[in-house]
Amino acid sequence: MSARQRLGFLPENPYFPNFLSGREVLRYYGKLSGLEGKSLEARMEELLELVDLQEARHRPLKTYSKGMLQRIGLAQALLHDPDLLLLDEPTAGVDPLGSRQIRDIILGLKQRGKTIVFSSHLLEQVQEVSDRVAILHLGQKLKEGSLAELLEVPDEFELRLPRSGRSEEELRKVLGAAGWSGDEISIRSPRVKLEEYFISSLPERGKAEGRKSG
Amino acid sequence: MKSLKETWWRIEAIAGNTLVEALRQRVLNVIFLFGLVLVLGSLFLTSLTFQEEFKFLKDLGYAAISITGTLVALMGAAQLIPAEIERRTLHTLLSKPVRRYEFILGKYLGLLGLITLMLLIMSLLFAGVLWAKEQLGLLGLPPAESGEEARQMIAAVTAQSRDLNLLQALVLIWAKLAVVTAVAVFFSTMATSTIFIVCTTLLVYFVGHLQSVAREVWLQEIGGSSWLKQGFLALVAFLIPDFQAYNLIDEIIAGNAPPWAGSAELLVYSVVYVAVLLLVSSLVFEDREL
Repeated sequence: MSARQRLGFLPENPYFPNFLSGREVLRYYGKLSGLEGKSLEARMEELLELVDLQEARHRPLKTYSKGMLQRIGLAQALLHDPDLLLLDEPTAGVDPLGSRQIRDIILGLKQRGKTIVFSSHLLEQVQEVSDRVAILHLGQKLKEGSLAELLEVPDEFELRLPRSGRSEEELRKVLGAAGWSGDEISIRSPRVKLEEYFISSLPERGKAEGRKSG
Repeated sequence: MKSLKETWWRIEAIAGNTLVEALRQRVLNVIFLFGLVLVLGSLFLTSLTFQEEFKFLKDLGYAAISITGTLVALMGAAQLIPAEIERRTLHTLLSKPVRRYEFILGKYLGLLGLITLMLLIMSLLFAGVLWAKEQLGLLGLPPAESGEEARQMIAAVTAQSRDLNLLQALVLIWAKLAVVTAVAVFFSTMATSTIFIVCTTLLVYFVGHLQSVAREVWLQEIGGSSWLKQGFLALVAFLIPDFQAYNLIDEIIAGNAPPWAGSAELLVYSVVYVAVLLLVSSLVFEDREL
């Protein structure tokens, strides 16, 4: 019992009473977490703002999108201000805008010093937010460590330079003069991530709406 | 002390949520509406002489209240508890510092609150129906000033319509429904099928109405029949609440009101049965794989 008081949990595909509105769910779960009265109401407002659901607070949960449900789930897990958060697939089945929002919330919590443990199939997202990762396969932990430990290729450099009007040939010449042979060098223009491209290609209005319904 | 208070808060929160869910459910609202129509309808279904009319009216009104209440208790428990498990809302609920018995007690109290609310509304409506009937009855009578005979007739009518024993009957209906709800809650801790819960609860309900017969047979045959048969009858009499005992309600409505003592005894009986059923339900639910 006392362990559950310091723990916030968001199950995979969280199910909340869908006849309640966002506010009502938070009030209900807040009472179950031992909060009440003014402090509960204040906490609810704070969390609705944190997960950006102020505008949908009075709508019943059955009208929420997947991303909104995950966000109200996050708010619910945070009600009693736990030190440790367990999130099971927090962005599974959520559209790119929605999952970016969830990622931003997780990063914000991390900055406030919360310990967050989450599972995910979306490895790219894991890479973006995690300090340490563990790889599980068939119930066995195969690897564990910080991202730098696990992913760094220690005997290589990656270099990023502004083009400044120069050609690839010129760069190769400079590097060749410093002793690298031609087939050791690979040069290409960097690419933006598809997620960033997707979000940047939405019109401004679309972004705002995506935030509301995402 | 503090933890007891917190336990009560959580039970209260779950009960409150159960009540809200029930009130937003179409099935239960339709049943309730149906009950209101029946109670109101009893006003128009009676056109016999005064004495018979009031008796018939009361029978009809209380039957409507009782049947509606039973249906709400049954459907409420059979729908709302399995729904929490099936829709997996229970998982998120139990990730909070909630104990399982708090869930069971909260659900039960929520349902009891629902039944209490519906009984109150239907009773108020029925009180209105009785009043309307009284006014209609008095219309046909000569005024009280016209003599002793008229006064007696008026007194006869108001004695029928303003029978305080009806409140006693209402309390007993409430107690009976509290037991039915506890039976339904008990079965819903073992199964997730609404139909199964409704059927088994109804079965207990009917056997409960017959079991006083079984008990009589048992008492008569003691020494005469095999111990197996006796044991079985004793088990039935012990496990299943004696719903026949609540036929006291009909007696009260008919005006053959026994003293409050009988009702008090029945109330105690109900409380004990509810307590035992909830205790067993909690124990069963504690070990259940969710």
